[in-house]
Amino acid sequence: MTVAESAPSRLLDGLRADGAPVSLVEHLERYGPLPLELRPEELRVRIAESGLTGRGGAAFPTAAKLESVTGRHTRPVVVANGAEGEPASGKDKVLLAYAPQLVVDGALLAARAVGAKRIVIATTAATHAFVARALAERGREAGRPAVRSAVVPDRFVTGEETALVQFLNGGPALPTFTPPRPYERGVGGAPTVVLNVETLAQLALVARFGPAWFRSAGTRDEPGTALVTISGAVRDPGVYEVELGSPLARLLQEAGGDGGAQAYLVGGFFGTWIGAAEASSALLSNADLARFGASLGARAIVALPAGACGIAETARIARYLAEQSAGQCGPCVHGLAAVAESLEDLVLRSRRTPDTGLLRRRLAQAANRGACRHPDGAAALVASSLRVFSAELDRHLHRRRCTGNGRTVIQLP
Amino acid sequence: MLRVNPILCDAHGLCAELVPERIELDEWGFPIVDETPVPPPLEPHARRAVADCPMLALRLDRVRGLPQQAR
Amino acid sequence: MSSQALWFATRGFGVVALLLLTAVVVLGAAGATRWRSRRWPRFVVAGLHRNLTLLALVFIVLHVVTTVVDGYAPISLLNAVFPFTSPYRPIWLGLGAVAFDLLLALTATSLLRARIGYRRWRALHWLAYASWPVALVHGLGTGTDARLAWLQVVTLACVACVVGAVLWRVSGSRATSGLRRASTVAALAVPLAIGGWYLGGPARHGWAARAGTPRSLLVRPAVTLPAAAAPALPTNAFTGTFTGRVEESSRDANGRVLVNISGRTSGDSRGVLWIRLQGEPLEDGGVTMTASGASYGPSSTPDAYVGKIVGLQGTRILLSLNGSTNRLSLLLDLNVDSSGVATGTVQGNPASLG
Repeated sequence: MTVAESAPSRLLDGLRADGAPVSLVEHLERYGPLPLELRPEELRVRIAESGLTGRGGAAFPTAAKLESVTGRHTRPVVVANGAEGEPASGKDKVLLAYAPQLVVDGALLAARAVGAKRIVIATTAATHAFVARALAERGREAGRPAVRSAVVPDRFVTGEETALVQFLNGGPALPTFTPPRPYERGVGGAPTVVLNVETLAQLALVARFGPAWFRSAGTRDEPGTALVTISGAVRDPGVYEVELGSPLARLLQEAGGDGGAQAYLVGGFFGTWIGAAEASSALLSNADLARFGASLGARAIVALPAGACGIAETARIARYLAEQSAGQCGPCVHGLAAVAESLEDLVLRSRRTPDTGLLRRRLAQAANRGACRHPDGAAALVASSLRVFSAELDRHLHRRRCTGNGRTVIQLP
Repeated sequence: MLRVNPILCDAHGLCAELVPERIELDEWGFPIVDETPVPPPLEPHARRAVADCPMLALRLDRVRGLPQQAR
Repeated sequence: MSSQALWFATRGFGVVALLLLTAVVVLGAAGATRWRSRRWPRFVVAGLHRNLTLLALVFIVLHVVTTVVDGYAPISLLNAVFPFTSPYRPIWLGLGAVAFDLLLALTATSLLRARIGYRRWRALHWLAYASWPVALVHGLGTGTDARLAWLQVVTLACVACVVGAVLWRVSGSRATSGLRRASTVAALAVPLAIGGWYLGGPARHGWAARAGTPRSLLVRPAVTLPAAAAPALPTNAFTGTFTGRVEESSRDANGRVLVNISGRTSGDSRGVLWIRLQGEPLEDGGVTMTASGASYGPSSTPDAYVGKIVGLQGTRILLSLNGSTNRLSLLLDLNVDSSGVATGTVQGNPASLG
């Protein structure tokens, strides 16, 4: 995967040419020292004024998240979420591999902002070494919160907030029922704020350069830049830094998209499909993508080439998502398996007459019935495929030739 | 309002028998809960369903700010 | 209330409790296997399982109270919850206390389920499968009518229901196959073991004594006598003197007293004589006898002859005793002084058995 630069480059600015992680010295040279002269309240104000939102998928206002754990009678814990369970996304891994010091900076500042004395940086095995090395470079300073790095399993649901907290508490990496939410009771029973590693990296820059600088890119409601992973039918797949609200078409051009893609999966496997025509006018912001029932999500975009079958691809993704279910909730376990089976029936053109009515009913029933949003996401993905690939669906229903000819192109783990 | 903890729920189905006004079962026996607030006449049935659930998966939560009576 | 009526009541309440608990086990299995029918929705199965348990507890309490109130056997309320503490058939009665304790624990944890959490409640509830056979063995071991035909039929029917319920439960279980096999084996082995014990124990004569009934209550000779018995006793009529003590207990809950006469005979026949009678005291100092037991024999085998009082007039007592080879009639003529010392004459008249 290559890492390239796009219009404004902030997070990916100081990267080394040889691809090695930025050292602490280089990091301090590029970005300056940590603004520790700022008091916690000042930090929080800066973050609030910057309008920074989560870069992990939910896009929740970061300042609100920090407020939810401040001022409680137990000291909060900061968790940096580098689990990146979404297979189509690689931006967190890239950030941790190339600029881990930014993430550590962000975590330290977030801890300072909420009065936390414990920080956990959670990553998968692949990127753990980078974090460990970055922490080792810093050594231990008096007064600094204790930072430990934790390795989490590489499953789809691991990055879910409650699953991460449960794992750090010694349990399985599976979502838990809420209430209580992590900001009420999380790691070790303390109020816990879970922030995506990219959010923390952005936070580190906001603290240094201020809200006005941050807002100089992006839109009013979604300011700043964001890392986006683009893969599939493009010449230069990889992680790009884009301005929020910029046209998707510009990113596609940058990544060498040949314009021949028939559809795009926006938000990774937890996202939804949009058609090529829609993509040509779409902007990279939740506000704009909502027109097509989509959102940035995990900021992963997969381009589907013209010669592929959207239904077949979706069938494989649906089966993957069914297998990645935590397996705790009946509606998810049964529902996703049934949906995957329906799609497979459509693709394999088995003897059974596919019942799209039943499929749609099951999709409608999947929402809000699990402990986490996994079934909701899977259902939304499949529903979008029925809309975007309606012509293909028709071909399969009438047993005409499948565009993809039985081959699939999207890579699954 | 009634809420089910889907992790604990094991599709026994007593809740749907006791409060059909708010709970019906999907094709696999799992509850689909209507989260409309429970009016006072329905409350005893809701409480009984909460007590009778074999897995203790059903809860009756206070609806904040909304009147208990559904109009 | 007469002792007879209380005894019937105790047995009756016990049997009803067993029937109710059998139904509870069956309903429990039905609940776990998610059985339902048009007339029996799941919440009815669950509710009945709970309510019949409470009803069974009521009957058990009545069973305990009638046993304690009927002072025939020396059983107190504490014996009902502290196992193996009663002097009456301590093991078999104690099992009843064990079953009762288990049931109380099961009920309490079920009523407080929301507080102790599902997992802890579930772990404890498995004890239900232990409490039923324990209650059954208690009934067969303690009951004085364990040989009655109708009771055997009822017991068999209950065992069949429970075994069926357990096998049904196991068949619907999602546990590992090893656990399921073990449960099936246990479901068949335990009743067979109990059946074997029953046939070798309560079904045979002499169980009452083997079970630990206090000697005073062995009204009929229930002890199998050792073959080498009474070599020193005469086979002809004999006379002798008696020296011993008379002790009278205080009134029990029914106003009855127990009188103990124990001592030795000398003269033609030397032996240890022991007499116990239960009765209602009269104003003139005597008693109206309601039950009795007696034994006589040489020091080595003091119960060579066992029997009861067949005649009582003032301080003249006529005993009818059975030995292994013959019968013995003893006529005692006693003088009892104020301190309880008894002296007198004894006449013995052996007769053939039959």
